[in-house]
Amino acid sequence: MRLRRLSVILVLLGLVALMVAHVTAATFPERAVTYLMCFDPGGESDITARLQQPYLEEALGQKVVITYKVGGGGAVGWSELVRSKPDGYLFAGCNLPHTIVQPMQRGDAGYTTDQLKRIYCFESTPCALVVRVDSPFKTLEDLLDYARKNPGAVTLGGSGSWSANHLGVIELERAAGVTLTYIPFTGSGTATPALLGGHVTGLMTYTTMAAQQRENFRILAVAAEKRSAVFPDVPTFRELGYDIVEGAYRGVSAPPGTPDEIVKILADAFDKVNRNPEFIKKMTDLAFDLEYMGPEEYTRFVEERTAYYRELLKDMDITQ
Amino acid sequence: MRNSDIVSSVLVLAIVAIFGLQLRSGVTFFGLVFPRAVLWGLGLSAAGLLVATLVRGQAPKKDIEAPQLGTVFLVLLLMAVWIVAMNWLGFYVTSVVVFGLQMLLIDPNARNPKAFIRSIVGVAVELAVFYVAFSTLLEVPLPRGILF
Amino acid sequence: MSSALSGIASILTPTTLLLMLGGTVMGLIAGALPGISATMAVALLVPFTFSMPPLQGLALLGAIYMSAIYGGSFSAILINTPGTPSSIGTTFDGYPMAKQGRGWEAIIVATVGSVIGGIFGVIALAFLAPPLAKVALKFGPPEYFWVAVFGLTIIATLCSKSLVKGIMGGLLGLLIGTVGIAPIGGDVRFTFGMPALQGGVELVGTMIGLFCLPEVLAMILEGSDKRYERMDIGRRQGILWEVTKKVLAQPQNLLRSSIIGTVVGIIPGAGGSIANLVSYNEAMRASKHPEKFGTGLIDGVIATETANNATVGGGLIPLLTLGVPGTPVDAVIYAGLLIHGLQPGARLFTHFGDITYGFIFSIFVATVMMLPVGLLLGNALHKLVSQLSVRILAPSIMFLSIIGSYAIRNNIMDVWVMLACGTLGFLLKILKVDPAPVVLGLVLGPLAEQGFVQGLLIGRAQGIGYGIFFTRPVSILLIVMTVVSLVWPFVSAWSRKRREKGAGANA
Repeated sequence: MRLRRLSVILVLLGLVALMVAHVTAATFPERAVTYLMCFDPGGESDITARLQQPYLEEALGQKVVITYKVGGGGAVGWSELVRSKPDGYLFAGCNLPHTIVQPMQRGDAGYTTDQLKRIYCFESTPCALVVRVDSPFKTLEDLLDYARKNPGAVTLGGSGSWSANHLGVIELERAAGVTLTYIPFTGSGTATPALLGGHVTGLMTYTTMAAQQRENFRILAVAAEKRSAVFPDVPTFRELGYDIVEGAYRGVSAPPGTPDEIVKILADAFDKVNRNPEFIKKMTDLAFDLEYMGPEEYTRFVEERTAYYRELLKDMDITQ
Repeated sequence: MRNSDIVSSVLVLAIVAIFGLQLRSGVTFFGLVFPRAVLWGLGLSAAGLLVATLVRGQAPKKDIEAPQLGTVFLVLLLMAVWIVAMNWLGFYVTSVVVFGLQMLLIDPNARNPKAFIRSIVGVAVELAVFYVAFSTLLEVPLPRGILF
Repeated sequence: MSSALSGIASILTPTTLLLMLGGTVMGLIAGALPGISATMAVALLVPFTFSMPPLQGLALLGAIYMSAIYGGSFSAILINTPGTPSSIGTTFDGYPMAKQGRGWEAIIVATVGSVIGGIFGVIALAFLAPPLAKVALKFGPPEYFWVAVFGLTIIATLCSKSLVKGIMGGLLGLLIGTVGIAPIGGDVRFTFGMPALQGGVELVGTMIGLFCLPEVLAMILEGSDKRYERMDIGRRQGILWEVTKKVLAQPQNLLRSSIIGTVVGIIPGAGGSIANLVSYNEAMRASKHPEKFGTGLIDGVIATETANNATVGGGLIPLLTLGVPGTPVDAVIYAGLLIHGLQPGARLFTHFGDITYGFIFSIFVATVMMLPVGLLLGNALHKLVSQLSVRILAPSIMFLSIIGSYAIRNNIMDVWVMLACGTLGFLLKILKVDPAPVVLGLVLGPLAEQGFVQGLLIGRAQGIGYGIFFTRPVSILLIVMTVVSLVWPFVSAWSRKRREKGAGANA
């Protein structure tokens, strides 16, 4: 008798808890949310967030406050994120491959890749190999030929260490069997004048930067699965015989332990923003590629890429 | 030992030792080049200064004046307390409390109750203005606590 | 031409002018508050400009930018804390002037200098942008390294009395700057197990700690409420015109500082923080009484404030012509341009000519607006700071220090760093070590390291290794300038002694 009463009480409690959770999840967000930026204002992550902001506020029905926690290539912001309250009111812009390779290569990045609860991945910028318009290298093969005859002489600038640019160069070295020299700069903004001034042979940069400098740069190849809409005449690395798909994938993540229902609400909001035709036009004009990965797809993608990078770095003998 | 050159060079040598030990592991060539050069420079100049002062022959000048270290220490300690307490009591409350304490510490005139209350009210208003300016206008997320 | 005129006409509408006035006031306040840098101020207002037509939005941003750089001089003069890194050098002579009761005079000097420098930069932008932009591109990693080294030779000029301590201070600054992630290779250095230090040591927090806290402590220890002597001297009738005449009586200083500011602004990545220090150094070298610098000479304030406002126009040159930001603030303006659909490059001057020329004109107008607004605000601030009792002022400054160093990166670690630097600054004061070289090392360290390692990588790729630092024309020019700057204080002191001996022998 007592047991049955106890179990009835337990079941009722359980139902109430479910209802409460559903109610709180359903009314999320009840106040302003914070969109954390881990990179400098003015950069690509910031531009994307600023473009998303008005549509996001519409989709969530609450104010979206953009704040910054910059440093360590994003690590400072992400390590803060994983220690924050998992209530969905704070989420951060997250980049691949940074959030995969940083914990791999650094002793203590302040966070680990799986601590980031992935919400949505909304855009990517593939890597593009560019040289100056007046460069003697007219095709990728010209450059690679030169590199084969002069190992290490070709200097390619890019943004950051262990970033998509850097990994793109490593992958090209492996696929083409050449030795290149990667020159890290603090951002695409500082790498560009280096090429314009002729201080480096070329850049492994992003399509967005190549688009802004289309008057001065010649793109030799794009590291994407299909040709870029903004540059229909530029071949992909795959077409030229080198299987390289690399780029920065930008998305948002939440602290570990954030309830799935809240993650879903945020993911749906970002998805809605991504399908808004005005937003799509603004992004594609700037040469961003849109992605539509929800939480599960995004998480699976991260796992695939993690395995890939682990193998790549081991292969090229660059583990630390 | 009250000569500024000697004390400063000893301190710098200590810093070189502490930082130098940190470089022992986990840093590759490109990350190492610059800090190592800087540490060498620091070590050499500090050692040089130390030796030059000691070898000079005359007794080193006692030119360190350390006035009222006690007050300085208390002020700095209160600031440290301010920073820690911010995360518990929240920015505004902590600021008013610590501000008041600082006032008491700094100025004996403030210790009479009437003057103190007048000052504290003014302070509370001033801090409120700043708080509003920073957290709403400038959108800086200040640590929240019991009040705000 | 017609597009330029239509752009100018759009600026001269009441709404735009009012907006720019508001921007000037906001920028001044933001610049004067240590912890809010010009970059932050502009970044905060970019979203507000989305709903505005592009030209209005850009005009607002430009007004904030220009006045923020000028506003930094207020706190530099009044409380020895640079409001923005572009005013570090203004503390050298501005604060002593304030202590002597000439604070209002210093503010006037800073205002006039800033306006003149700002206008010079805008004129360079309007008429010389394309050729000057090409100059910017000649600077590659080895050149950046030498620029940083040249900047560090300022230590020799500043600390000619105790050179070794100055060198130690500078090296200490360089060391502190290496905390965090190495720019090349991404190694984690000197974080002592704290992930929050991966972001490195933040410049503004360090500045606040090193410059501001020791002065606040001194204020407290002195106890009296008389912090600026003889205020009556500094505020007599007609002083405004008198001081302005004194400033205008230094045309070479004004011209040289404006040129330095514009050129440094053009160099991508280098901005007001470097320009003001280089300009101060050059003013000292060109002066007939260099030993008086640091005691409250208006030459020093003219040099720093003119140069830093000239970087505004200079920095926009590579941004508008090449899409390369000349200073960190320009990177934010770049984002603003992109979001409004404006792409930098030749098209900006042809297709969008009315917006571009209108923007350039608006900066000119904003600079002129700074004159009355700045003087009014500066006057009020000066009166306020000099009349508040210590028990209110000192904790207020401490409060601002905490909130300011937190506001830069929303990172509590920066506040602890600020406090640590404050303790360090107090220690340095006791040990008679000048804090300025430390900040210099911190500002220039990252530039020097990046230039060095990137240059080395390129040099190795070209097969000449370290040789790359000595074989390029611009590098060689910079090396010569560096050597001259290094050796000059000793040569001038030596030649002065010879002159004195000669005069003594003839007497």
